[in-house]
Amino acid sequence: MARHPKLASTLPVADDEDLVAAILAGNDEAARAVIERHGPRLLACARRLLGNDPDAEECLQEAFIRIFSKLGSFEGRSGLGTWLYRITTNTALELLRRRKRIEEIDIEELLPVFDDRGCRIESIDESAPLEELLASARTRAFVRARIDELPEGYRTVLLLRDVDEYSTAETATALDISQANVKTRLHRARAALKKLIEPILGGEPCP
Amino acid sequence: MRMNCREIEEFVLAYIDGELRLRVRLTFNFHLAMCPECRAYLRKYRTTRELVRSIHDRRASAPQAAGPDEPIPERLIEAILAARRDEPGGSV
Repeated sequence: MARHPKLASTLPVADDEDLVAAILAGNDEAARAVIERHGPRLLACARRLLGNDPDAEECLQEAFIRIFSKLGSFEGRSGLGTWLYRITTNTALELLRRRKRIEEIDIEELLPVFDDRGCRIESIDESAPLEELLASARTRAFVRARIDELPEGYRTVLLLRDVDEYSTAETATALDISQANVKTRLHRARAALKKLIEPILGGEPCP
Repeated sequence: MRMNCREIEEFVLAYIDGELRLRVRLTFNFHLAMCPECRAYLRKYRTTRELVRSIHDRRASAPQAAGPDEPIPERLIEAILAARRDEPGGSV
């Protein structure tokens, strides 16, 4: 196993550029350092998109195989972290496409309701302040669980746009759908999630 | 031009993102001023959006938060490195 003498002693503080060079030279320790440095964030991303740990770990392994094979073509235009994140996201989305379709909630059941005159049917009770909701660990867990209940095509758009901060155009490219479709799905995902978390928005304790 | 609640719904995303043209925005705001149900809906819609954005924030102190700082299990690291060695052009 090739060792980069200078790098071996300084791996914890080596920058990404040095690590990439060392990995391309065949340094296993540098490869480990990249996994340890960036892996946790990538695994969290995969977990969000895939919804469970075994699939997320499978995704991370697959993503790193691609990462190491493509590392020679990494030009450093974006930071290494960003590049790794994109590969991981794309890998997760491919795994999602390969998954068997499971029984999903019909999003239509969760969309806003209007009466015959086109008037919204909505409770006008005061909602709990956002800071109060964010401070509660149970609330946060409740919201995460409800996100997992959204139909996959809508959940993915919601996560890419509102959590991973992909632009509309980037989301459209990642999912191979139109930008108009991204906007429609995002709006519906938010509206549906609002309905799923309605009890706690009004300040009720988590069910 | 007036819109009812069902017609307003189509513009909610653009309104929240500040992308409505002036004329439509004025109509939208007029409707909001007259409609407590749509005001309540928008409040909760915005709160929902902020909750989604922040629940995966690494700054979250909630113990259940699957924060990005959880280290990768050693067996997973080993599996990735082993796969790298097996790939053509892997480590020397």
